[in-house]
Amino acid sequence: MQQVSRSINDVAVLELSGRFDSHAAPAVSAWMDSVTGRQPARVVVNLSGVHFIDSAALSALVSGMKRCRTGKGELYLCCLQQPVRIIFELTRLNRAFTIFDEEAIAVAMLTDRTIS
Amino acid sequence: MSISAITILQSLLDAQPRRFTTLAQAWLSGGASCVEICDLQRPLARWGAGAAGDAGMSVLICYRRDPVGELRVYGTGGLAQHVRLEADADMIGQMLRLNTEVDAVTGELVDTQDQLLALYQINRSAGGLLRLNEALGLLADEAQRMLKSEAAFVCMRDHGDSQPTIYQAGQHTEQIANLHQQLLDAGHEQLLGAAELRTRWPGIRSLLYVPIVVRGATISGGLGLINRPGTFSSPDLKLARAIAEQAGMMIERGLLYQDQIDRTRMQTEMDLARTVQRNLLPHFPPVVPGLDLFARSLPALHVGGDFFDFVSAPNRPLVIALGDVTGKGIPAALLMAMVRTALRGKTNYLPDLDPVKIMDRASQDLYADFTEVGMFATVFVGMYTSAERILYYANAGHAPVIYRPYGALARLLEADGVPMGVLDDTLCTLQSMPMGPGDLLVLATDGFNEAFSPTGEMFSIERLLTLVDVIGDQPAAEIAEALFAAVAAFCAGGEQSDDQTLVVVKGVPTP
Repeated sequence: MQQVSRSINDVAVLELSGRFDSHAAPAVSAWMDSVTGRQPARVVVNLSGVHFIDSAALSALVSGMKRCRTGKGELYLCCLQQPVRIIFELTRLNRAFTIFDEEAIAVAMLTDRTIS
Repeated sequence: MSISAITILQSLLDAQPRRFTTLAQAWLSGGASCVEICDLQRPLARWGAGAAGDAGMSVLICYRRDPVGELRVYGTGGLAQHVRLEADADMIGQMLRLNTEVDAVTGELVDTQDQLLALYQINRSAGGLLRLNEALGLLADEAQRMLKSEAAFVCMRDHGDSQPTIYQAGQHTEQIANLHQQLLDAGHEQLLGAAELRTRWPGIRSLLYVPIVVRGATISGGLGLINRPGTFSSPDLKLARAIAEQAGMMIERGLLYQDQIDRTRMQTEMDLARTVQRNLLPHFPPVVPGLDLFARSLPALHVGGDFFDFVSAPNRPLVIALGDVTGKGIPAALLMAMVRTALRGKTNYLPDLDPVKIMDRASQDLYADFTEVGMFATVFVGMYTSAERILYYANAGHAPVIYRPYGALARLLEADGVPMGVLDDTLCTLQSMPMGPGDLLVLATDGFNEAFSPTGEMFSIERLLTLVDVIGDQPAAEIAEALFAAVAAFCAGGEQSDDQTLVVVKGVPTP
């Protein structure tokens, strides 16, 4: 799996592509650790290139989301391919995450978000 | 002339007396009265009875150009005889050279044989020692003995460790403690004499160090020898190399053995964990009027996080649970045991039993633990009363849950709650399904729908739905057997990568 990170308006964006599984999850968790050190952490994970996701990968995203929220920040997801969207719907994780169709909207929502 | 040169001439006379006698007889039969071989101070051998007053000739005997003695002939003379005498003295010189060369070669052969024998003994005695530290300790002892040094040490450092381990024989503990690190860091052979050592390490007159090479491991090591009579020489270096090679093989063997021990220990622990986990699951489903029940969990190679449970008590509804903790291995197995225990506790002690209440209370209890280890669990909790013939349920993110009403097609019942451990509330709502005669509920874990064929194709929920429609009229046990068999055939004997857990609930007429 490939991962590309960038910062847009103080929002940390991670773009992933390929197979997001137990082999790839530790690297994503490490990235999460690095960006959630500064609070409030505002993070967008762009899954546009991910065609497969397993439970270890979902755990990494859930942990990242929890860490962001603990520090009054937020983690948004965007650009889910159909197989990945189905997994989020089956597990109902779509009720726990805020998911956007486009990265720009996700970033804009976090940029405008008033951190309470 | 050196003492050894004198010894050489005397040795030759002792070793080859008949040759010298023949040489002397040739002179005596040619008219000479006496033949003498002397070192530069005294006669060593004499043939004939010539008088002291006889005229004579004398020629130096040289060994590698150094005079080591004289060949003297009395009672004869002349140029021709002098030339002959010179030729004989030269021949004795040649014999001296050949004799010392033969001695040297013989000595080397004996040394080599001794060394081979010593290495064989090291290998034999250390071969029986499975513990690496004992074997390397013995090797240091033997190296000290064979190389006649005051001290010997074997040091070894794993690249992950900062401090090397030392196995020492003999004296100079303090000096070895000071110098081994520098020798290890330098990592090359060193053959040092007193002049080079005096300022660096007081008390050490001679030092021989050879690195130990361990193939396929991140370990560096070395064999060091300190102070021997005289200095360490080239043959000592060769022997030290051979011992170091032996040490390298011992370390490789020791690491292999340790690795094997670790694997066996881990496998034993995993087997134990699997046994504990299996024993947590009900061995037989309860007998419940109006239901035909079957459940089985087929663990993958490693312990996993799948579980199912039935809790039934007189005058209480039957509670059915099935779940899957994310991840694999011991952490998933431990969390699975905790989820099961929490669900059982709520089921047994909560008043006004209700699946949503069971789910939420258990989830609240475990939320902090799930967060701590970065995991979550998808869980289905169902509750059935024979009087109503309805199954109430709460589904926290679990799939696949398949319901096939009698006479209708199988369909996927999607979860409405998020998995346990994701939020502090699962957001589940209470749902229900009729469980009359012929109605069928199949609860499975993703080891079924996410099983892969050798070509990389996924079994999928769609295949499960189709199969349930085909076999749905059969009893619960046969439905389960058919589902396990279909997935196994799809994977075509490939390794099962995830647990496969199945609960089949089928409505049957009440007796």
